[in-house]
Amino acid sequence: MAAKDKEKIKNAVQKRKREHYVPVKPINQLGFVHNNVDCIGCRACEIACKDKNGLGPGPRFRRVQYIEGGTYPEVYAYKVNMSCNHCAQPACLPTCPTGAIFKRKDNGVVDIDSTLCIGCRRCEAACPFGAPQFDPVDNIVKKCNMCIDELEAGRKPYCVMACMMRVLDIGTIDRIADGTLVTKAVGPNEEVTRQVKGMSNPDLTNPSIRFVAHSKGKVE
Amino acid sequence: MRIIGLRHLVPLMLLPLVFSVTANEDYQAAKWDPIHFQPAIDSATNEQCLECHLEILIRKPLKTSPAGVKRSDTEAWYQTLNSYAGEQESFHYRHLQSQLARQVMNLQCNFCHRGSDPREEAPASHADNQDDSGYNLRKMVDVEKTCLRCHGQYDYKVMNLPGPWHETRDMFNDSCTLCHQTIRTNRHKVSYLHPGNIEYLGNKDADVCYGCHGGRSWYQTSFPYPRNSWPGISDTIPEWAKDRPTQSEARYRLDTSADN
Amino acid sequence: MKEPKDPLEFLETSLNVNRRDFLKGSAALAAGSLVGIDATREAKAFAYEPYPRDDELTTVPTSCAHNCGSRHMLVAHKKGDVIVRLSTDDGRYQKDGEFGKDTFEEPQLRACLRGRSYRSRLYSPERLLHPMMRVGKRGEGKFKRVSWDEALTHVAKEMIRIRDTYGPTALVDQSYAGASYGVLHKSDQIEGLLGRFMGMFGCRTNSWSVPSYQGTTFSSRITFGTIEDGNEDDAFAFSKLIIMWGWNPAYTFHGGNTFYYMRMAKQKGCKFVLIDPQYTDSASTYDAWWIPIRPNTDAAMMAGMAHYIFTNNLHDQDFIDTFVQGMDAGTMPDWAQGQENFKDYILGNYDDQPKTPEWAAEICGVSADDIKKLARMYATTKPAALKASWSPGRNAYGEQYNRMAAALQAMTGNIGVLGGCAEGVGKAWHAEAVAYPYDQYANTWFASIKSDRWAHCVLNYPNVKREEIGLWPRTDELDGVIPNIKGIFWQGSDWFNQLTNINKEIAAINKLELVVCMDSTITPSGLYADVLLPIATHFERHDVALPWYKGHYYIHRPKVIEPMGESKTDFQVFTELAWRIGGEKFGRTYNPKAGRDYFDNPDPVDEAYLVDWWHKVQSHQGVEMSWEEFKNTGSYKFKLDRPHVAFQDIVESRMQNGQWQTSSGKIEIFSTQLAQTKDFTRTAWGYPIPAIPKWIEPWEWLGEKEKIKKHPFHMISPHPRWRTHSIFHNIPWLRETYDQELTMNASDARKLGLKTGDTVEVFNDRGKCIVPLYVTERCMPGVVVLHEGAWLDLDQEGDDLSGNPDVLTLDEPSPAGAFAYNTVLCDVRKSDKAHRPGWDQLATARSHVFRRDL
Repeated sequence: MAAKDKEKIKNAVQKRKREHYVPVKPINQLGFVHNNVDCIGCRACEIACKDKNGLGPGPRFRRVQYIEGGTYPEVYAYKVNMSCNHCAQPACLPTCPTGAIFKRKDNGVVDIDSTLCIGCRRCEAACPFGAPQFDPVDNIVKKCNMCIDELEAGRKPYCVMACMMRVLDIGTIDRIADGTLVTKAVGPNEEVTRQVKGMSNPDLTNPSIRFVAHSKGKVE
Repeated sequence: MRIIGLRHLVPLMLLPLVFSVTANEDYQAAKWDPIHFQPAIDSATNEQCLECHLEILIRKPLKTSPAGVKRSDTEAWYQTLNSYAGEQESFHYRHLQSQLARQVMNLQCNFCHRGSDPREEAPASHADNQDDSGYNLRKMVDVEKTCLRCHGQYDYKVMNLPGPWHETRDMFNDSCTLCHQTIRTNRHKVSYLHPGNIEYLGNKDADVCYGCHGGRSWYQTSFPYPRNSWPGISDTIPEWAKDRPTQSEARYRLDTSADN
Repeated sequence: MKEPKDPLEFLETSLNVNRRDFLKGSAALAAGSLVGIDATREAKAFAYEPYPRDDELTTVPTSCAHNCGSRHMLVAHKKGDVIVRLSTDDGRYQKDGEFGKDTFEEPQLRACLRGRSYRSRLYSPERLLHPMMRVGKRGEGKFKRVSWDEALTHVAKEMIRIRDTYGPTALVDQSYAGASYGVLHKSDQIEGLLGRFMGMFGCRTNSWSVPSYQGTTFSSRITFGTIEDGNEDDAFAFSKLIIMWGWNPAYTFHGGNTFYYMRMAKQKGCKFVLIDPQYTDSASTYDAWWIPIRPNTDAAMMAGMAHYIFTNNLHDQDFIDTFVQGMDAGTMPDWAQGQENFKDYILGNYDDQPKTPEWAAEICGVSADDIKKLARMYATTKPAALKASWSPGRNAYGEQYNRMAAALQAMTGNIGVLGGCAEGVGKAWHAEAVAYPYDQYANTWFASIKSDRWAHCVLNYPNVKREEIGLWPRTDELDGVIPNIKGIFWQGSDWFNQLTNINKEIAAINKLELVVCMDSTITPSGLYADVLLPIATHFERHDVALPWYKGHYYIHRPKVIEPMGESKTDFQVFTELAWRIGGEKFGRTYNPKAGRDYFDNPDPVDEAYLVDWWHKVQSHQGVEMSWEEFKNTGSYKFKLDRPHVAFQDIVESRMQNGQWQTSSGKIEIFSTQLAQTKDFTRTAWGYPIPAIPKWIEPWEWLGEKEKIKKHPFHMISPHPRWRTHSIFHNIPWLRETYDQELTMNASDARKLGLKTGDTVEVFNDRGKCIVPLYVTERCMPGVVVLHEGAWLDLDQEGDDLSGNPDVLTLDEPSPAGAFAYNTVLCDVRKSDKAHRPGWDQLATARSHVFRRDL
């Protein structure tokens, strides 16, 4: 690297010193929508994701979580399915010391170039939703990038295309939120919510995900 | 003023690397040991935790990323604070072992880790974790109750400042104690901090204060600190403080006579 | 709901930005991080370089292949001869297909988690790549690598010796459906490639009872004269009420899209009921009314419902009078006047015990009010589907449950109508299924026994009565001859691990002289084999996939990659053995299209069989697509004129357009065949079966006051979702998503001082296994659940550390042949032993593993 560049960087460092981190505002933030009730919890999305991303046992970009409660025989159960929520203000991003994590300007995907990762695992700790996953073999962090290669090919991510019940989908988050996205994930007369019980406060990072919540999973 | 060091961790760091559970033994039994759950985890000592999880103290990030980024070359925005010393280390190091961490904080493992569920990693996922279990969906730490205390936004409006600290610090001589000499609360008098050290170091360098109050803000919200009173506090409660407690949580509260 | 007009609209808008521009932008804006690297470096989409995108790889549509409950598309993306990743149906690989096409008539066939994990099964460390022969003791797992020639020479020599020494019944065919549902490469206990080979060879004891659904098969055959009593999956979208009786389509899938069409039914207002000891994921997904029931008492509850329906006059008398034999006195055949009819049995006119809801409540643990409420719901909601699934039939007298269900289906007139249901077995659309050679040898056998009685037969030979092993009658001198079993062949089968009472099998197997296991991986059965033959998976051979019981489509299964190691197909192995044993005559009779070189060059022959088969498809099913076009497209999805509903033509035409395939031509609630059977010991059933459905007390259940003192829990062992029986147990991805665990009700656990995560031992007098505990309110008290199929892993004391329920099950089949997998009492206590989730050393599941940097 040229000395001139090094100087430039040093100046940039000075300028940014003690500054505040301001996240990218994407042109069209994409997000996920998941139907907690109609999901059968088969985890085909999880396995499709692991196969797509070449992950061994351990890291799980996507996790379907089984929630249950009540007292026999009055019981209930539902599933909450999250991968990376591609937050509007991601907590992982400002922790990353190498620039491996970045937010895409066009679609708001919080992407990672794990070849830049030194495995400090800060992002993993900071994310309120447990999205960044440490790969113990490579000693670096990897995470969901919404199958950016598939998005760029005009298709949807592997998890969405794996969903046997068609309860997981992606779309412009504003349209998911206001109910104008045409999607099989949301049934007639169903509404979406930002948060479900047990999930970290969405105000922390403004995650780009909506759920059709179970009546027992709603947050007042 | 005495700078308190790493109380329990140092002797353990000298231990040879021995995991009490090897792959051949009963991993199932180990992961379901009661110490991982409420209520036992709340009284777990660091020694107990480190018996199995010692790697959090010895593990280091890669020297070089797969594409060749050197650890020593990285400099994140939060690394530019005066109080940030040394190169990138693991977040456990930064919370437990670095000099600053040891000076201003007294973090025990169970300050952050208040339970886990090795089966589903979710609360309310079987009959035995229906109550407040200390963890969140997908997350073994409840970020809002732990990380947010020091990684939230700097709430300058509450303090009636004209702007965020990085824009206004020069107006205040780059000193927090300029104002907080008089508006001085007991808020730091909690078991997970070293209040005396914070006073001492914060007086010398505002970056020590800023480090926890805006300088490493990962999250968009601020922690709703309790509104401890101070001499001269107004009788009228401002809008933002209406629902706030006036004392720290009981489990962290210190006898005010101690260590100040 | 309306179909998406343009599902990719949002993607287009999101991609309006020129990629290079935004990449520059994002790099500059990345995270305020100030790394000493070239700031203009183009951000790559993927970290794990080299990362070939799908469109840079070769795309090969194929399908999954096991006996799971469905059949879905898998799309291999490969580079050279290596599969890089798998995807599934996205609407492109069919006639007029395009990305995103997913209509009601032609839904996408999206693979489940097991199919999606196939790459790790294909390339698993457990893969068998070379023929091997045993050098240690049976079960010890010590083998040496040998050549194909050495292995086949040994097998051929031993086959001949055993046949010539012990006669034509000395070798048991334990082929099963584990590698089945191809039209050409078929493993099957009745008519698979192995059966035809052994039959032609002249030494074969067949195993006739089907482990998963023999009770149901019996019921469907007796009642309707066919097992094709099913509706296609889309028919479920039209029900107003779906009663899932022991049915968990969220686990077993049961058709390509059954669960998805049921979601559509729910959206249209269909109500759901689940009768099951567990509140399953199906219950939660469909928001079902859960009625927990004591295992093995389903027939009693159904009798209570029948009583309520009869006494409240809610039955459809017109339907009964028109279509049913023996529902009541008026529908009894003339020749059987005076024999018991169903209604009078229910009303208690024979035994002074009316089968009232109150009577049933005592037995099954469901309140009389709930029984009445459900009976009324079912009788008054039209159309209503009572789906009587297989698992309650995997019980002592399980066939009575299925027959009782058929009686309810018939008395409410829910048979042959869209939205109703007569299942049962549930086989629906009739596929053109046979490309392999099929002739008089297809199912030749010299003895045929109930499948889970081989060990009993071996251990007690010759002091075995024909009824003990369910010997199928013959008309020649071999009738009633107890087979002198000296060898077993496993093809597409892990039966040693999967049949009942494993400890009895372990005792029996050492008496055998030849055990051959043909599989693509090592299995628990394989450890007990003398010879292991490495079999190519369906990715490594040419075939066409059939839907599994529901669905109307064919999926082309090309040879995606070359066979790994020295793998050969089953068909190659049998053909080669035929040539070796019987020369050209046997060789060419067994595989008429093949020459002597088939073992090394199978492709043209396989293609020729498939081309012939496709011609049958074209002529029988009106398909115009050519074979070449089919191969290029990947699949053929049929569009039916209307959703296929079993018996609809018969019912709509009031029997003008055909009748049932029973001897009376009617739905036989009173069975002609059973009523006319004089000596049950000379039937394959061995023991009496009443002519009408009845509640018969099982031999182990929670109503057995004496037995539950010692073993207070009733264990059921349903099919897991993360394995197909035992297939896929070795896949770390799947073990990470689900633990093998014992499910127990919270109040029971409290009494025993147990909690989730405790390692417990589940035991009875037959065996013991070690497994972690899952405590939940979703399970009925007194019932424990342990999913079948974990890979047997015995410790020094003979306890199974994997949690295989079949060390506890009893090898006592129901008279009709139903395996009594779910008729098990046991006890549970905390264990000092360690559970082993898998055979690999670091068999630890779930993501917390990596948190410890192990």
